[in-house]
Amino acid sequence: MASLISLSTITTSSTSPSCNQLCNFFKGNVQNLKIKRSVFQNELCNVKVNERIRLVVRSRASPIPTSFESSKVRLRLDNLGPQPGATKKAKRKGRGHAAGQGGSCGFGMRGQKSRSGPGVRPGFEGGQMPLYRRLPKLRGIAGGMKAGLPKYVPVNLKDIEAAGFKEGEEVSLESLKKKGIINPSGRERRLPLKILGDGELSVKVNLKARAFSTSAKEKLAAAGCSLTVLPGRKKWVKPSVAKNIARADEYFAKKRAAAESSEAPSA
Amino acid sequence: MASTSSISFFSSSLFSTTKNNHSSYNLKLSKPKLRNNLIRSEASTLPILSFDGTQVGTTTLNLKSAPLETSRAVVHRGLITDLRNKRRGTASTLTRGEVRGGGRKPYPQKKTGRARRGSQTTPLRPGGGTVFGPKPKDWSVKINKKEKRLAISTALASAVENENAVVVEEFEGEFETPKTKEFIALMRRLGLDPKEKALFFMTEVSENVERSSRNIGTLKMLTPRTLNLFDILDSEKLVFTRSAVEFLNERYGGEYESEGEDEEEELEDGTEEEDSTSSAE
Repeated sequence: MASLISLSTITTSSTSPSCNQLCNFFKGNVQNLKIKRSVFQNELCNVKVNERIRLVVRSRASPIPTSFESSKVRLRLDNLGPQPGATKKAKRKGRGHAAGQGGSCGFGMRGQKSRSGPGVRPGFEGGQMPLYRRLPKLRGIAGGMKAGLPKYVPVNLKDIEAAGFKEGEEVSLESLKKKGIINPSGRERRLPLKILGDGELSVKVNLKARAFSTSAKEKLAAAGCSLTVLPGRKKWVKPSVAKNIARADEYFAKKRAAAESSEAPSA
Repeated sequence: MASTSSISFFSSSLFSTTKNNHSSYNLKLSKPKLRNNLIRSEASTLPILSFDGTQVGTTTLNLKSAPLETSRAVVHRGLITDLRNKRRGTASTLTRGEVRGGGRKPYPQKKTGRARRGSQTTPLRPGGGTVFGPKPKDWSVKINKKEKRLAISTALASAVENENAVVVEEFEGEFETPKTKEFIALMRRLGLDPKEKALFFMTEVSENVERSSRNIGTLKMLTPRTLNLFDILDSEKLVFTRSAVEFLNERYGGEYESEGEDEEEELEDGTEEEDSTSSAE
């Protein structure tokens, strides 16, 4: 191979001496610089010159595997890729007929839809009264009013009765969840419990809830259950404000205590 | 397996005979099993090295990893999500409408002998607007929490399987003064090349260790809070401390299933997000 290259350079130099003279500062005899070839080599070369040199490019890098059949290859930054079939090549629009989306890029011929921009507006039905105007508006709660969303997870007395709570047991959001009476999901998970008064409750239980309906309160009082109204969530305030509030509370508590103590001896 | 089962399921729904009902009942039993088998978890034993580089014992690391056919894609998705979510997407250029000026017609339409011209801000002129330049864009993509966790544990497991992981005893107290030379000596004792990228994963980093290691460009010192997929894939060798291995077993291990922990984690994540938003503000 090396001999081949040298041969070719020599042949080109011998064929174009004028060019060599132009671009060389060498003043001596160029013929002396030629490599003197042995006869044996010459023969070899002559055979090879007639053949065309074929260039075979082999990529040195190992092909990137689509999936690792064995776990012997460590996952690195350079051998990751999406699952085969997970990605699609983008359509190359306006790149000639043969590409499939040539001339008008899938927009057809003439008219509003062939122009730039989105075309007719959503809901437009060619000028006839569109559906969104044919039907009456939904007003109030039906129209997605925030006030219409539930604020409590409701549980009726009859459900508590059916759950089979024993005497003296606690009825709270957690225990009802455990019994499977309620299964709040999504937004409901953050809501507090409210006891409603549908049905009768015969066992004495301790109820803990954020709110009780009036009828439930009456019935439970009659049954002799103990009710605990849980406190609501505290409104979040800035730490500085919270500090001030705490200070104010402390101050007023002290003042009240002082007033009471001054009243007590006088009375 | 899945294809055959689906066929039998359809046939059972088509011909409601007693025999086929029986087969569908069997299916119900077999399906969850198959689902559990998809995620692998193989325990691998790792030697524990002491601070001096001698072996003092062994430990097991049992990490969940995705099935072989999809592991490459899962890790890729995790990485792409990380890299995209890192982008701020604030690159912005001015279009011809946003470039200042250009409202006046430079010279009359006719009788000047020059080409007609309507605006100074046309994209064809220097100083004009950009045609299809970058505009602010949200590059973020969403990934499921479990998928993200699986990506990290798969990457870790594949590194461990190919023996690119080392376990060391805790060396918090070994550094009395911050000294990078000593840290490089430690790396050599553990069989690491300081010229190659390495990842140290520790549950706690003392100040001296942090200051000894932070000037080594090839080294990443990570804690559970900063553990990330890119550095795992990027580094040649991973070094865990003993407590870090425990943490990994707990967080990414095969037994990590219970829902209670999940909820806790959600809460934690929520607070983190709140923190980040408040700091951004």
